[in-house]
Amino acid sequence: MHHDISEQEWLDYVSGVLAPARAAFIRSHAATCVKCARTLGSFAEWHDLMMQEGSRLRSALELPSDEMESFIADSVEAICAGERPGSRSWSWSVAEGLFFMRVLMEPICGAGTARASIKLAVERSTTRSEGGLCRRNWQLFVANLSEVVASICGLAAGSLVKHAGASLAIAGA
Amino acid sequence: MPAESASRNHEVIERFLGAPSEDSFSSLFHLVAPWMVGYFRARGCDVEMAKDLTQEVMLSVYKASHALRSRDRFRPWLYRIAQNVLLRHFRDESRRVPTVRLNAEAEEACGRPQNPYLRSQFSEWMASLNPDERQIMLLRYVDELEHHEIAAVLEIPIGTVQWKIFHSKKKLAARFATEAT
Repeated sequence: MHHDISEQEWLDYVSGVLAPARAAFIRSHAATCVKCARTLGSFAEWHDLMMQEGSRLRSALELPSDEMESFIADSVEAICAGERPGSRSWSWSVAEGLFFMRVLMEPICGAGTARASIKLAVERSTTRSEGGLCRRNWQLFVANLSEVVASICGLAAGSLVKHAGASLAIAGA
Repeated sequence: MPAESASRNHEVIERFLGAPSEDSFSSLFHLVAPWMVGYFRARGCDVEMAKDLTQEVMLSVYKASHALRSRDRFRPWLYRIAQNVLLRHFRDESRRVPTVRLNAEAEEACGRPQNPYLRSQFSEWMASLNPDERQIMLLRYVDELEHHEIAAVLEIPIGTVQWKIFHSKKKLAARFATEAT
């Protein structure tokens, strides 16, 4: 593709930004030069092919409308409510909660007392029908534990346990 | 993009940027979500991942729209956020412990449809281009960005965009001449 036409000129011509006089020259040249006409034709053809295939692909990549609608509704609600969408709110399992409480208490009242206090508070807070500690009785457990710790290590320690335990979001039923 | 639809899109964007609210954001989300889901899926993400990443983009749009100085630059700004989100996603993926991945046919047999991009003619064409050219051709022909918008997204001169599109077509014409014609 030479014929006194630079590659930059071909590019500008194809992009539609070449000066009118040069564009007219290329048009008249392509009308008589088979090689250049073929190359120019192949650019136009590839442009059309890419447009067609791009459009077909866009349709294929679309989500079904009901799925898209529910995705949009959920996302808008979450974003506008200030939540980070798609992320679960941070929550603790009961075992993680207990572990946290133990780690918090050990430097204050020692490992043995921490373990015994937690055991006692769990026994006071659960019934057989509930089947153990769970989200439902977690706040009761925290209140009982705080009481036990306060009676052994003082009110400040009890208050710390109460506030720390109450701030944990326990997952599950 | 037809002029009528472009003007409607502009109105939706203008309404959100002028007065961000849940209502105007919802309209913007309706407009932009299909673009973004398509953007991520055309770059190999499955549906769930495309939805997650779209949410991330929209969260950034919601939080940072005040930082957009020129409203005409909304689309390049949006695709730039998408590009950054995608890069971060790929970087995070590369840090994860590798897991066994079923091949495409097996996933399809398990009821998980394969990403349409992977078996498209477009993807076959793109495989013969280098990553820079591929990125520009995807932005041009799948995401339907104009040359100046692509230049803004990639922060390169518009002449480079035109040049790469020109050369990509030349390459494709030479490589697939007999099949396409």
